[in-house]
Amino acid sequence: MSFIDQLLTSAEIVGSPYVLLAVVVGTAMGIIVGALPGFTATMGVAILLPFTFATPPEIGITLLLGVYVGAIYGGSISAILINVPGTPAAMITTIDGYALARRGRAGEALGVATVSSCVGGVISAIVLGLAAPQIAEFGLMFSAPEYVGLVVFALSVMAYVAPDSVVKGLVGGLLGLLLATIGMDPNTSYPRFTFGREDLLGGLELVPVMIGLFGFAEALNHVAGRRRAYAPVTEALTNVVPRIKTLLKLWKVFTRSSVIGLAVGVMPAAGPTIASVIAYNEARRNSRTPEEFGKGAVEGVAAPETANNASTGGDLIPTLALGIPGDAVTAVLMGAFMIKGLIPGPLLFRDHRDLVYALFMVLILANLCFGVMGLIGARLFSRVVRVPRYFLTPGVIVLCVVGSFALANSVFDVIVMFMFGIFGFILQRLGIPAPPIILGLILGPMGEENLRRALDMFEGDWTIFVRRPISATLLGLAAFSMAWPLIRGVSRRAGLWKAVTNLRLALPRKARGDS
Amino acid sequence: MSDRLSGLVSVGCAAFVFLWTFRFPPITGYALGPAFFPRLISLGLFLCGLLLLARRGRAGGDGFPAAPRERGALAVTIGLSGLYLVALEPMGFVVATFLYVVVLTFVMRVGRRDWRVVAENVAFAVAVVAVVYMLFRFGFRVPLPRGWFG
Repeated sequence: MSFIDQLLTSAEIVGSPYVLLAVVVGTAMGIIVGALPGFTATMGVAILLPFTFATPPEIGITLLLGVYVGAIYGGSISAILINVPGTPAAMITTIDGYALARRGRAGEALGVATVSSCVGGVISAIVLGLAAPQIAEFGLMFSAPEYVGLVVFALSVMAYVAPDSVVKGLVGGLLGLLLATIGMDPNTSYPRFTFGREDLLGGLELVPVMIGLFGFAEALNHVAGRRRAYAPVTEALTNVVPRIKTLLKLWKVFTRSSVIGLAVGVMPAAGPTIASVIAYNEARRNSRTPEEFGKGAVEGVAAPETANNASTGGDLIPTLALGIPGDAVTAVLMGAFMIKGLIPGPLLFRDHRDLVYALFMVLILANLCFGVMGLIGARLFSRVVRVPRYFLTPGVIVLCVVGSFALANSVFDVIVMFMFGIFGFILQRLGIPAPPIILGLILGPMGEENLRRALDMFEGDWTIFVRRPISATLLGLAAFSMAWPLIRGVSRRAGLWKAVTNLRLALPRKARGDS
Repeated sequence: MSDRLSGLVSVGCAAFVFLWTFRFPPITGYALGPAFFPRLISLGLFLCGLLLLARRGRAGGDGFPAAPRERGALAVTIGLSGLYLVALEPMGFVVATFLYVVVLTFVMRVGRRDWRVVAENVAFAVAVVAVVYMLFRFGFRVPLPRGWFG
């Protein structure tokens, strides 16, 4: 099948009215989730996942991709209007966005944020469509030892989402791997860690665990968090649709920030938040009027918003092509793919090519969709940020409960969700992040199966992992990334990497890696 | 504090898993048995735990809420949510969810407390129950627990 035929077949899937409806509904829900302070894209995808159970994969995944990109954009709305980033990825947008709003230019700031997010998102979706199949092709060469290398590498980089220490990130990943061993052993069918419960024979269900860790645990954070007094901008929004002249002036910012967003997105464990910080700094450095930054520079809104949405496509490249999600939200999305019977990785591109290309198109559409919705519905979405938390939190908990119940009509799943919510809350308070736990739980079965197969195949010879070039490279990279904090400690003393250190300090602890 | 505690949790968890795997049946030949992978991972977890215990003077994470009001709110939310789970099947989704949302919004809403606040909370609870029930019952065809209406 030629490339054009391929695109036409996929376009047919996307052209279905249900898929188009899923794009619109998903993106709108994403914008709302993103605009609500304290609600991350990850939480949105996790609690809306049960809404896709009954749908075919193209519709369910479309809805969730819409939520993902919509939420990353939606974060800018509260950043601009109430100086609180709706998602961590919009943190940098508060600086100039809120400053503009305070000067009576909230509408203009929202408009620029919308167009910038749209431009960054569309560019990154196109690059994703072009690059991911090539990388997946490379992944087809993998066999058991390479998969083991991949799992170790993925967990070692995901460990970086830990706010204060990579070791705690590793603890999260290892706990996830252990949780994955609950249930019947794949080779001998011996029930492991089931403690006599039949519900656990099939292993832990991914959905209630994800809803617990990212939904219920976050709701508990809302309850336990200190209240911040918001100072919302109340003036009417004007000039939301930006002038062509303004946009033309921003083309360099768009290009540069899109490249930054994509590059940072592809890097494991560095998501939209870091992309927006780098893009903002670069925009200020290259600006003719750097002194305006912080006081309400339009570029100061355009740069981070282009970059954080550009990183979405970048983030999805390793997730879809190799099955290594770079951050929390892509880990949850990967779980969603798996629930739909689509295992991200090289084989996905071989076995479900039509669907994968259709999803790339969906991603472009979703980015355009929030662009249009944002410009038309700015006033409507701006009301969302004022919904009080004492209504939101109980509503979210009810959704968590019903969502995990809906999986198999069983209260046991709800109990699992509840326990993991409390577990996740406690671990987070100890500095152990949830994303590596989910990644460990997802990759555990693949890691164990391939490790046992590789050792069986090569008669217990452990050197096989370093004798094969790809697995050796992956393990080498994993070792490097685990040793990086040590290297950095030494080089910091030598006065090197100052820029990197400054960047890390510029980010609040919680923001890194979470979107 | 948080480092030492997370170190202890890791070491404890690793030790438990490692010892528990000795109940698994052994396997002869090259094939690796069911205990192999959990033991390997628990060794890794044990090492990470020791590293955390060895670090001194560094606090991480957000820490546990210290203010009595936050602690109280957290305890009440967890307690109420636990009760909600227990009540979900016998009472049914509609009644249990309505009561849960009314009480939780009332607890979370600090400051002004008069009949208008109660009326708003009740209206919100009715809306949540109605929307979620309709969506799952008729939209997704998921039968929610009927309880008292069963």
